[in-house]
Amino acid sequence: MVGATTTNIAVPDFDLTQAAASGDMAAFETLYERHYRRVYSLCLRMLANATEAEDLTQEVFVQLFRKLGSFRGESQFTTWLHRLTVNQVLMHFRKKGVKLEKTTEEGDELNDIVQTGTERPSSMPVVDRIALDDAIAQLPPGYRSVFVLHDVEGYEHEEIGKLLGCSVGTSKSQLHKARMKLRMLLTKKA
Amino acid sequence: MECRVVVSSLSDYLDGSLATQEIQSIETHLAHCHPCHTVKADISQICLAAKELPLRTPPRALWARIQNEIEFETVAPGKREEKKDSWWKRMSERRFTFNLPQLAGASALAFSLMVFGMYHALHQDSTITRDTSTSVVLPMETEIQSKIQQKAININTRRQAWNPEIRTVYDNHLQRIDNSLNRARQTFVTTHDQDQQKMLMDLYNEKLQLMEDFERIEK
Repeated sequence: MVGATTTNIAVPDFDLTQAAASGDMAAFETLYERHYRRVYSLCLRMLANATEAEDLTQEVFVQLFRKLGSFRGESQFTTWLHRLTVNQVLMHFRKKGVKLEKTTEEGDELNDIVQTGTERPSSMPVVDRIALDDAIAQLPPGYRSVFVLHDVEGYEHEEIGKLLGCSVGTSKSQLHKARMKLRMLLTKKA
Repeated sequence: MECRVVVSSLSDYLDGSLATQEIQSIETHLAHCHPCHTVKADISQICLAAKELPLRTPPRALWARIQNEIEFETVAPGKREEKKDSWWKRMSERRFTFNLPQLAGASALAFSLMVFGMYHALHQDSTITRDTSTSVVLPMETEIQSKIQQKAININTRRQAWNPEIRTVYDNHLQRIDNSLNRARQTFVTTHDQDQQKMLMDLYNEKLQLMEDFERIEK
């Protein structure tokens, strides 16, 4: 009964979560259909590995199913789901022993990248999406995480700082390094 | 303002997090510094392209995997225990006790294996080829082999939807049983001992049991 109605595209996410929490798999499938590509894309861009991204997407939706009952609709469902996804990815990094770069704002590497930037006055070619995705995958995990969260997903530095356990300054610094490194990678490729 | 300072502030400038005075200084510099202006244009382009990156699509089988795991978790606790007692758990918890005839049979088997090994080693130069078509086939063997073949077809259509870890566990167990089966089959060609027959059939049954256990994962 609930399943028949919950497949309707007009049903809000919150209603679907309530139905799915009471065991309606059709409602949960509708939630999956609405959000799986965004969750997978986020996992894929943060992890730069398709197999791990699939496994993490699976883990996110299994976790989501377990936690549906605790979603009260205080925030938007998408915000809640994306935070859950980011937390799963970060937990995965910790399990794998991946160190997120936590250099200071005055780190030496920045100077190198800045030098490279000013020494290459020629303009970068028009960025195509595939080339940018490839370049993002080549970034170190810490830079990649901040870039994906800020520039792709639209998170603010304050939120990124809370999620990654770093200061706003570090988040800003890593974002700048990530952008400069991407520029370098895209210019090299041309 | 130095180029180095301007470039290091470009991200803050583009994100609109600088004070008015700093913005003016940077804009003044950018107006006459071509290299810095180029870097700024490139970063702007990267930021814009990042916002327009397309969503990626995982394989269709992912939903089946998620559904499997959820269904497995939501099975009643008693049933879940029953399900968790899979082939591997039962094997690891099984206690083997042997009586005297079994031990004697095992010793005879070990001895015949040793003799066979020595014979093989001594006659490496002679071209011994084992023609499996002349192998002795047990009465029950064809039947169980066809059951296994049927199960293998079922498993192969379902395994795509399994979790990669489950696939690995299944493949490893199957590989071990197949290795034992091959060894048992080879020695069976030379002797017709009843213990060997039993061992061979036990291995076939283990293989069938393994497939049945893993076949249930999908249900």
